[in-house]
Amino acid sequence: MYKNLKHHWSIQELVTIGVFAAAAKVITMVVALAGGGMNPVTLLIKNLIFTTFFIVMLYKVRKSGTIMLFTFVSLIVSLLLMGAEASTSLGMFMASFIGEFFILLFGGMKNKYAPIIGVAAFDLSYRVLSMFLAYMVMRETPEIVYAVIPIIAIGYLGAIIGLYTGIKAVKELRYAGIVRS
Amino acid sequence: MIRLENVTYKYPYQNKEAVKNINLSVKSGELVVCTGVSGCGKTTLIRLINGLCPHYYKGELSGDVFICNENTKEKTIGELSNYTGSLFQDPEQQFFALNVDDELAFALECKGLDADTIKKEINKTAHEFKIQHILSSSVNDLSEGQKQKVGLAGIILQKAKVIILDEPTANLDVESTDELAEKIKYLKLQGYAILIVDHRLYWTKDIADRFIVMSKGEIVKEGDFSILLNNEFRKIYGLRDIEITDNRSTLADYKNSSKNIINIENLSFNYKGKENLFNNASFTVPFGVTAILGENGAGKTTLAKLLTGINKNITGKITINNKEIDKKILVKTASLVLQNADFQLYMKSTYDEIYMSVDVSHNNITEDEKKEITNNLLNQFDLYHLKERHPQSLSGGEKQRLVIACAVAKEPSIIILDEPTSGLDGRNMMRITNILQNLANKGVAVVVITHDLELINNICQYAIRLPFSDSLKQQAV
Amino acid sequence: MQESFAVNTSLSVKNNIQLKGLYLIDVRTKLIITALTSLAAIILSSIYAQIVLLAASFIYALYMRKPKVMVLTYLFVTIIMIIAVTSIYIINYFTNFMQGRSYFAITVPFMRMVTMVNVVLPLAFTTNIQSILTALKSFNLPLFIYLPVAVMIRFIPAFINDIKQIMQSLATRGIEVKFITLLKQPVKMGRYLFMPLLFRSLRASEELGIAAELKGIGNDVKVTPYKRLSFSINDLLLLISFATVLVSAFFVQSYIEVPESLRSLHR
Repeated sequence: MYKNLKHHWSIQELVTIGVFAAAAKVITMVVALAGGGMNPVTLLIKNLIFTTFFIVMLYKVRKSGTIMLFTFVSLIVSLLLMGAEASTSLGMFMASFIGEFFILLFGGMKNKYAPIIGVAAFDLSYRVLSMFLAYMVMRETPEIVYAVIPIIAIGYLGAIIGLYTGIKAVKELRYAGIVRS
Repeated sequence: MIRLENVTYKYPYQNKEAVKNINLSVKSGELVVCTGVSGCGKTTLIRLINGLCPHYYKGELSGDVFICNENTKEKTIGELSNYTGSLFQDPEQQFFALNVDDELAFALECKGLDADTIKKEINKTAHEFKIQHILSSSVNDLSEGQKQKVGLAGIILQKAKVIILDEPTANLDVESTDELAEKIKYLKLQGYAILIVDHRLYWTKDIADRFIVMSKGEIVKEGDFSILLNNEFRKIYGLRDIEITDNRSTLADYKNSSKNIINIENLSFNYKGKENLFNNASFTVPFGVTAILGENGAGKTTLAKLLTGINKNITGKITINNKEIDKKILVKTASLVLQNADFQLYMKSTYDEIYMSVDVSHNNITEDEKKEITNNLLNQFDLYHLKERHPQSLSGGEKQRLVIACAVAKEPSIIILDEPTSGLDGRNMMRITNILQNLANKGVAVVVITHDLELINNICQYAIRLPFSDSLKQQAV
Repeated sequence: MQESFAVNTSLSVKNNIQLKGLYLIDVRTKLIITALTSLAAIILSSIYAQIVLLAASFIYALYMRKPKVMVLTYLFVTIIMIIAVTSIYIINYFTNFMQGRSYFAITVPFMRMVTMVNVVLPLAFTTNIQSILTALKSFNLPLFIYLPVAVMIRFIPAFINDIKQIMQSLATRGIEVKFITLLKQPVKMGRYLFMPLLFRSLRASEELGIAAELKGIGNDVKVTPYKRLSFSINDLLLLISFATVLVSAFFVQSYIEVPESLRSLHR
């Protein structure tokens, strides 16, 4: 099993995962900074861009397990460098399993739409799980969790638009002759 | 060491061969320089030697490529990496680590060498390349010349016997280029087989054994330096000049010109912790073409950003054509073309790219007028046939023309360009030169920041020399 | 909040000249402390136990000697807390939602947050990026995890720089990246920021991937670190003191009863 895993991704693909994880991290950070942190518009754009990068990355690295590796890598680095919110990390990592599961359910990465299915499942389950985890942290006063719901909802809306822009970006890259297949 | 026999290669999804009937050999201790216009097959030649073609790019290869008597078809890229080392135009893109020593160690760490051996090897090579003092520096803090040295040291550490350099001088200034030539001469004497692909030729004159000129995938001429002497020949194959005199010191000083377009009085700007960058500097930018000269860190790019209003922390008085200008609208009358064209392209097509610039800078005209301006610019910069193409899919020369077109769209009175000709072949360099000359003729003050001596010799009339503190001192004397 | 840390990472590479205080602590120690303390903060619910954790983590954070960072972070948490307490106060006005409990009872979630922030700040602010990579190497991670992590860390400072250049390029065309412009033209602005970086990422991954191949980095390699991290007596002391704190926090939760007025609202 471990031996198979070792040869599962090519070096080129591992590098692509790392580069895209960095780009997604940096651009979401910059948007948040320019928008002044917490406000609906930046929240929306942040999630939109992240999902778009995610989809393009999956079209470049079409291997099962990539969603998991990508999330795992971004989480480790975010945690180490920026002290990302430990509580949402867990939700994101669990969501990546669900994303992979849905890809398998629909015939694996061979399916033309597998990256979109995977990311869509990931996005939805991530939000559900974050709400659950927010409840865990705030369980003594769940009223505060209600305040979190709109934030998560706006983020999710951004992610859904991101699915659409992700597909558009992949189309544009094909037009530019950069992504084939 | 390197031997290509009747090599023809075609990339997948392409109907034309990238290279045809190539026969070439480079022996140990020999240095061969390959040149030709962009798209002539030079890069493919490199990829054939380091095994990227056909192992990475797939495609069809006929004929044989031997590296140290091993046929590349039968080896993996990893195995070939024991024989060849490649260094590209921008070595930083090849770096894996953030520190110099970690970068040098990385390939060795991955080969499973033990820590002590790695340390010893690094120290030895660092000594050889005189980079001991920067071993613990961050790669981001290095100059382009230092990056090249670190890249070369990495190849030597890999124990490769064949060294391939792809446009090594594109980003280097004159002094670093001379230093690189010295280094390569030393490696040559040590018995490395070296192949250099470059547009700039003057610096290889004394160190190269043979020159190869390629065109449309074939070798059209091979021989010693004398094959390049014919001006007509160089023009046909789009090559750069071979004898370049350094005219930088003969350019007229900014103070001496009478036809001023921009006057700057008492300009002051300093970064935190860095004093005396600009203290009460007063100077003028004349009509015509001016070069900003100075070493790395002298403030060339900073001055460009101040003059074009990108950096707003500017004090002092600026007048354009004798009218005092508010710093806020400086950005509207001054254009800046930054070095990296890729960061300046945002749209889906070449047409949209120019239209966007026209749209942003012209408020009071109709859509049809905007379209007309866009089409005029496409024609003026010879981009009309590319108007549907995706900007990011254009060649280096085409991208450069496009970003200049976008900068011209707002009809600036001054345009500043940062290294507009780096990495361009002779033909494309001449095109940019002509474009800039035309702009200057129309009354725009053209300012270039450049290391490219050929460009300076071709069009620059004046010079702004940085840092100002030095030139002011000189004037006082 | 998270964003404000990030910009600092590009700088933290440079400030490894003077190593003092927490800078000397092995990154692995800081990782263990962060993970265990955050976990304990989530599990524990007694207000007293939370106070123990908060106090210990606060002292730990003080050792990083970055008062400005701490003040800013606390300010942020305080603002959130004020908003929450105000809204609860309003709800309570109409519904007797607090049922006579002290308002201190609702501080538990915030203490949890602050504790987690306290332990994560030193990790992010007193560790230079390269030492994280060295630490990762010494964990003997398989290449398929190590390589993307290393590449990501390598590219974050580079991309921050690239974005600056993209914004400057946009400014030369007369487009400024500000909140107002983001709000007015979110689609266009998204594209302007996004497309150059996307193409840059695609090129960077292609070039670096090729560089990896050419350096002979294959799937079968096992990375042998050439620099080593070493645990010191300070690491040991710090780990022992945190172990004591965690144990006592759990002890407090199980043996000291919290009066009804300070109990959580929902159990």
